[in-house]
Amino acid sequence: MRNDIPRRRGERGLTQAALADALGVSRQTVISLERGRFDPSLPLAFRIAALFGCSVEEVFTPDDDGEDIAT
Amino acid sequence: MPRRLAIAGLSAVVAAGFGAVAGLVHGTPFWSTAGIFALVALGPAVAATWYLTVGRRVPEVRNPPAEQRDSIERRWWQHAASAAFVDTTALAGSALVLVALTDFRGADPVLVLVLVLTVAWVDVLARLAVLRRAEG
Repeated sequence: MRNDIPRRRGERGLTQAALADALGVSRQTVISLERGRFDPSLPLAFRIAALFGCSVEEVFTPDDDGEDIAT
Repeated sequence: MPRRLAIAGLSAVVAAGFGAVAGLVHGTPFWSTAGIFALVALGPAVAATWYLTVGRRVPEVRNPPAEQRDSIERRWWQHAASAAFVDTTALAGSALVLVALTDFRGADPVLVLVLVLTVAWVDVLARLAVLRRAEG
């Protein structure tokens, strides 16, 4: 799953550590999230979306753009 | 405070029980054997008593908060532990086949169990280190 967390975090001037604090996770978790190596649980995805003031699907997009679901 | 005293007392009784059984099984000198076994068993006894009497009712223990579940470190741990379990099972199975083929009966069971535990934990720690280095 892809995400644009780094861009949104950068726009808000947040460091990875500050974002981790705001989300209640470790900094390593934020690093792995941004690299796309860690797919968050739904509650965490909603917390991230709420923090950035947008919907979950605006932050996260499936790697295959949902082709599997559509077909 | 009364709860802590109760846990400490119960733990001491359990550890003393282990010590007594060990002392009886191993024979003389009873008191030194029982004392050493009781001392070694005290830590695990405290942990087990706390968990059985208090810990499992603590909400954070029964149902960890989302922050703890949403952690890459927890994911690493799950991957490392499950992979190490498969490794250890495969290793033990292979060793069992060898023992069955060769009819080898010379190994000390205590040594074998210590070896299995050591292999399992070294495997977990090595896998954790590799995951941390790969993603860190």
